[in-house]
Amino acid sequence: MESAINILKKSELFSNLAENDLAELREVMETRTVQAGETLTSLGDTATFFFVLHTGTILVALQDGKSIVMKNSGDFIGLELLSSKGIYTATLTALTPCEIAVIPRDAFLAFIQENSPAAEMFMQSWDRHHSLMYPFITEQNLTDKDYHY
Amino acid sequence: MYGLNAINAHNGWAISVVGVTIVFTGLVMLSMAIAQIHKLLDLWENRNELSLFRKKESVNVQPQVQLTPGQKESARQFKLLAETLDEHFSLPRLLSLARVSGIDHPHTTLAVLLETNIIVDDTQGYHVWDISQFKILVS
Amino acid sequence: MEHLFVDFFQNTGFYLCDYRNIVMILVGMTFIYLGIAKHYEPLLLVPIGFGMLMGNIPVFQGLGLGIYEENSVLHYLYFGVTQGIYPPLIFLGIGAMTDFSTLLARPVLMLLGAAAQAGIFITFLGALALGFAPNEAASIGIIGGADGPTAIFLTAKLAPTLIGPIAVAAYSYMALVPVIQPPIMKLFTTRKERLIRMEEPREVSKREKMLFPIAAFLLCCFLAPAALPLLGMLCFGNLLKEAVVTERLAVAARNAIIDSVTILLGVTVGASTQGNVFLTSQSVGIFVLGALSFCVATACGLLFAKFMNLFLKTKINPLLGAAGVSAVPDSARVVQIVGQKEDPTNFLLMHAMAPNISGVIGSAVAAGVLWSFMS
Repeated sequence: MESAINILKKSELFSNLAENDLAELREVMETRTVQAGETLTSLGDTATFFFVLHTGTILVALQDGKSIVMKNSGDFIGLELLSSKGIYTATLTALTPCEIAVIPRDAFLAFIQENSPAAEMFMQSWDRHHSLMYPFITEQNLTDKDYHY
Repeated sequence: MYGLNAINAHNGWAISVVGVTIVFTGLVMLSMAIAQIHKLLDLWENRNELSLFRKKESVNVQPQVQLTPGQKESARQFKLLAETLDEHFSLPRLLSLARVSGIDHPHTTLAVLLETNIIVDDTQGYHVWDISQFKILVS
Repeated sequence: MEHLFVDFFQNTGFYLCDYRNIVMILVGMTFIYLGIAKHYEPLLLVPIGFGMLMGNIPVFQGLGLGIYEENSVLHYLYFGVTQGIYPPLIFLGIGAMTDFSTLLARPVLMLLGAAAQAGIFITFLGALALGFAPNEAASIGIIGGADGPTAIFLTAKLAPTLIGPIAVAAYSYMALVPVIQPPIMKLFTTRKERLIRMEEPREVSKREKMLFPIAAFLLCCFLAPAALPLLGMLCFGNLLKEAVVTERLAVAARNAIIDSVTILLGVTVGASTQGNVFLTSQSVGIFVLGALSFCVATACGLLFAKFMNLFLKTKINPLLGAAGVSAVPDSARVVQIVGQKEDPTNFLLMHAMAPNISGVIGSAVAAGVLWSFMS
């Protein structure tokens, strides 16, 4: 399996981060392989990880029956797309065997809280990406950002 | 002339039998025809989904992905399930129905349907079934 | 001067009056009474009844007053009857006011309308047996179709001299549907059958309703071209109604045209019943056979509905068979009334309209068939 750092580099969201920032993230990341049908998170559970997809297809089932399908290498599943105030707001199910990188939620939030320039850059990319790709996700879920600002 | 003699002399029996037969045939034919009108209209209204009317197009469009017979069968079952939902349906709901219905490999089949654009994102969090793509790849 | 008074008196109705005129005037007054007081087909019985009064005022021959005198105004108006002009115009209006949805929703009920037409041919045989000529027998048989315009149309083509009695018989029996049909309905059905509830009909689309008159016209007229004047106008009127864009024409057809023609047809048919022409043994025979035809048609519809139930998974209420005689919408109303007597919550009217309308088409086809056989 490809290294976690290469997975992050492929992500549009993380591609602008400096090497040392990526290296910092790499420290807390680990890669995993999941099987088709495996549930990664369940809506309502305590949020512990964010995910970066490397290969495979993941179904992100939101509230109200809405969903997003993640299938591109580097797709990030976190922040308001996954949790609110420490609770998962979506259920992740692997539709195919997947290779993913997992980032502990607390560590990720700590990273963007402590590293202001990196956080600024990441959040700008995230906002742009989010508003373009998932305009239907309402503001009620946008709370993980506030958590650290 | 009266009675049966009059009827026989004026060919009454034949006229009556043939007359009744014609009236009955006419109304039976009409009844059968009007019973088909709504089906023909349905066919016409969904003509874009018919392979018959898409012959030229389908010749040019070469399916990029070949589904296995098993995947095709599962795709058909998925289609039946999708038909029970709204046009813009919830993907998790469809997956849940597929699991409950005992379809083989529901997750990978769903991934294949997404990969082949048979199921397409409507950009609002729901998905739609692309019947033309389904016909090309599965039918 | 005295001579002038005598001449004048000899030209008055009092002097020329015949007992047959008095009888027909009384019949006309009865029609008017039934129409106004009893509400039996008032739109038909009142014009016919008054026409009877007009036709039975004894007039001096040669003055051009009587309906059978070639230069009289009434004769010109009667031209529409004798040449079969009024019935297709009435069918145009009927088409423009009829909704074929129930028929389209359950086409199988159309067979009941076909079955009821058997009465026409059975009566045709009866009339032949009683010594009527084939063309007269055909005109008498069509009374069983319970469709006034169709009966007049066919009689005008086959036996113009019988138009008066046949038209009066047809309209009388149509008006008496609520009296004639219920005993026959009860005789041929059990209580259990009368309690049968019908399935909700499916929804019919506008396009379907638009296509129906075209399909029905082409199919029926290719099979029986002689039905063209009646069915053509019926289907054309219905297309005007369903096409929506021709609503103005449809409104004219179902209001102004049909009303005007009904007045002219009713009055002239009534006026054609002059005592000396009408009160004959032949007319009595026509009335008897007409009643028989009507009863047989009703029974055929009922029995065929029971026969269909032998094969149908979802049974139909056999009372609907009685609506197979056209008499729109009276026979359908009678079905509703008889059905509700057994179960007040059973609504059969909507379902009965299907065989009822089918009966109109069936009797027009039967008329076309008889016309082509006799020509």
